Amino acid sequence: MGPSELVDEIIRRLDTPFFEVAVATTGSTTLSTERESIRNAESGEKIVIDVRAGDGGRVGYARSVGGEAGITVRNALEALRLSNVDEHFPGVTEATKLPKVPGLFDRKVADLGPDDLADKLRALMDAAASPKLEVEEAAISTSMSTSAFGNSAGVRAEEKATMWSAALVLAGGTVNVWDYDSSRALDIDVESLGRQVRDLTLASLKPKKVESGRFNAVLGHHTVTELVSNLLAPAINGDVVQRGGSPLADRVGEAVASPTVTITDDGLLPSGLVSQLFDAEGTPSCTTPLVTKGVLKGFLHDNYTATRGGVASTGNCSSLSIRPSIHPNNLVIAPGTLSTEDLLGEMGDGLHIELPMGGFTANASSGDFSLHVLAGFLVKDGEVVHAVRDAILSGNMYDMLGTVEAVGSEVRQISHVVAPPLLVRDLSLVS
Amino acid sequence: MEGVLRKLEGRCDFADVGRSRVHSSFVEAKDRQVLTLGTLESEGFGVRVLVDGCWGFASVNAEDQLADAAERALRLAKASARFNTVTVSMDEIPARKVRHSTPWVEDVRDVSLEEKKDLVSRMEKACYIDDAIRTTSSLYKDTHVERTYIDTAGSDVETAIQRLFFRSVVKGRCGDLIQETTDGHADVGGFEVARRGGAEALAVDAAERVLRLLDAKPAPGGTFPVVMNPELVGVFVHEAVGHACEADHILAGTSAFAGREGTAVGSDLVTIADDPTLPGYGHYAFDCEGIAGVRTVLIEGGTLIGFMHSRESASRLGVAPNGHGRSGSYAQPPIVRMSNTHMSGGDHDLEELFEGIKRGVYMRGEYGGVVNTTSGEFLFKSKEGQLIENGELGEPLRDAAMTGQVRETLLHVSRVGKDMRLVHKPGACGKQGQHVPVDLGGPHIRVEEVRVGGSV
Repeated sequence: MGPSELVDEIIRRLDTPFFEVAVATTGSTTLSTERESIRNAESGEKIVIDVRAGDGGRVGYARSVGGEAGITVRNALEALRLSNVDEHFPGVTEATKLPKVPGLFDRKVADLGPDDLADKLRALMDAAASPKLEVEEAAISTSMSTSAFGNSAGVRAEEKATMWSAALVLAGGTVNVWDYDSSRALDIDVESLGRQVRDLTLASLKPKKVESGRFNAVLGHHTVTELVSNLLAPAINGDVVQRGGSPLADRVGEAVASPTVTITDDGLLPSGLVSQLFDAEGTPSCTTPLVTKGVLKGFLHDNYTATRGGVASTGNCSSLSIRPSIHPNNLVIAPGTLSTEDLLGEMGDGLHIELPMGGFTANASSGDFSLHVLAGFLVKDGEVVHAVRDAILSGNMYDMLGTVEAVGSEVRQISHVVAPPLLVRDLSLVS
Repeated sequence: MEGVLRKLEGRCDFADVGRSRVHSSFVEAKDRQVLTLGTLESEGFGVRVLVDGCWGFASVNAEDQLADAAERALRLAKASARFNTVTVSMDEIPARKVRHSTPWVEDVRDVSLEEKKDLVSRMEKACYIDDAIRTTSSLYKDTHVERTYIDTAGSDVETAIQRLFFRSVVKGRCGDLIQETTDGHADVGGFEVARRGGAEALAVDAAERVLRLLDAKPAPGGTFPVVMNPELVGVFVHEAVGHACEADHILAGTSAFAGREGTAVGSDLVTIADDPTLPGYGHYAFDCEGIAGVRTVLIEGGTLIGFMHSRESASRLGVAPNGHGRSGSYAQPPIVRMSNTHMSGGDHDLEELFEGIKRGVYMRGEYGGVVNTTSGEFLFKSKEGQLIENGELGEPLRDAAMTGQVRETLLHVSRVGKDMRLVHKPGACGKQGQHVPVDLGGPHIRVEEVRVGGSV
């Protein structure tokens, strides 16, 4: 039985006024190395059933991994029976037409076999070869999933998606540097990725101490991703906003960043890693302006926060389990016109922070962050002077957003952030 | 399961098959309102084969798919073996049959969601001790896990264990400043753990901390003597020492401790062990390769003396396995993991740790941490801090993060308190995408020369 048939089968067993049923099947394979030896290969096939049943403002939830539909329904109804009435109970998504999002599925990725993956992993390591460096770890993985959804308003939807990714860690002595790339299509150039990690590692090999102080900085793709996903994503979450936990809560219509900054949540981005036809509640994906030319435009919602706030869901429900449950789709920072080289030139003196560690320790409530610098560079007159490592970069994201002087042109997607490098002012570095 | 295993004999160097069944229930509340009651059921099988030094692993949900999974595991191992130079022969482990349940008094599966809901409601109510408390959430979750493990060496091990945790997250606001913190409790056992009480007190602790943070100043940046509390010490030894003492990291050359066995890696006050037999949240009697968990001393009096092992790493390094092969779920193969990791207590009373510090930082609790195991670089952030001036505790600090090199930091441990304890906080350790419950702890300690990130 396929996921959509199973959704129908479960729905036949449900007689509550409201229900939402999701069934997802996933097949995945990962190959990874110990140094240069490919030693571990894992694969898994699983089916996950989620049922949320609602009645008179009450709701109950059950999940089953590999379990029986009947048990899942029974558990959801038992949880429903014991639940409290919630005045904000939102009902379910009404049936509408689903969008078209190109590039979510690539047959060639689905067809990759163990030998193909091993060959690609070997090619990744070969391209990174250097007498000064060793492979610390490398991995390659693929997955294919089919997600089906149905609810009591007659919504029925199904989506097939593929994803694959390649990752590499290189070390020279105690200096190590990593990078990875993911795509829904068979278009990652593993050799180019290997050379890129090699070059960054070689450039980082002889770090020197920098006098502690305040610096302007060009933040590379990984640094921007760490800050956006750990600090901005929670602050634009409609649930956090409504409950008074976001510093951005009362600031719609106000300038929260420099006019160079435009940020959108785009669930429809072609080939986007977090693009989808519909969210966990079956709401069609859309594009939501968050910050336009520095001005705060809005927040992300699922059905629960949308009802409570009297707005429409933005299609950002990430799970039926806990309500509300909001997660960004592709968070896109609009690119500017300057290459990284031009950004460094524009900055003159300062730091280029390529690879940070520890962004998740940031304080999303206050915006304060401390990042450990793994690969950074001291820049004078727009030129790299030497590598910087083992230093701690601190600042406040809300202050920093106001100082974004220039936005780069080279866009890259890492996880759910699609962004160019940024030139910012006045961060603190302790070395 | 046995049939699939028998068919693998002679076609690989070693094979094992595991099954796990998990029943879990949870209650979540936000802002004094219970929003979700739920249950999670999971059942699945994993089969693992060793071919020419390579592991192939495949997982499925149903037993009738297991034979296909075994074939897939063989194909995966063979595809990898083309690019492998490591040879592994698993040491013989005497064939044995084990049936073991970690005791619980009140089976979490027999307690109604209603009672669990009451607990969460009480925690939520307890958070609101002041008008500055703006938003809260509380979560209760319990888990019952049954595992079966068999291998081609004759192991036949069945175990059962229950765990639960509860925690509150509290946010407060004063003017434009918002601060948040969390506190909770986690333990092995049945619902008697929740009945022992203390849930409301933890929620109040979290709320009081938020009020302190709203009054606190940002931590100063610079290099200072630092006093760390047991929770932060526990996280530090787990992240910075524990991971570097996982033998798979030693074999792969991704540990800052590789090649340093028998040498000083800390001051002589430093003794650190991982002990699955302790009654902490990370307790288990047998690991996911059927091996009994054994107390493993990693650093004794500053000298690195041991590592945590899976059966593979123990075979390759020629030592006895010590029961540290754990998997996050049936769908993941066992890898080297920690259990209850802690630093041993020393001779000092708490107040003696502050003595003579002209200007330093007292860091309490853990807000997050990360370590680069290869280089030994780390970053930890405390839940809250306090300035130390002339041996006395001064003004409260927020956002105090410390960073540095593990060995340098351990060598700078200058005083160790008597007050060693496991912290019993809800915590899962993540490694290679797998999450397992762990506990950690230690006494208060003082470390000279720690780099603290902050405004300069």
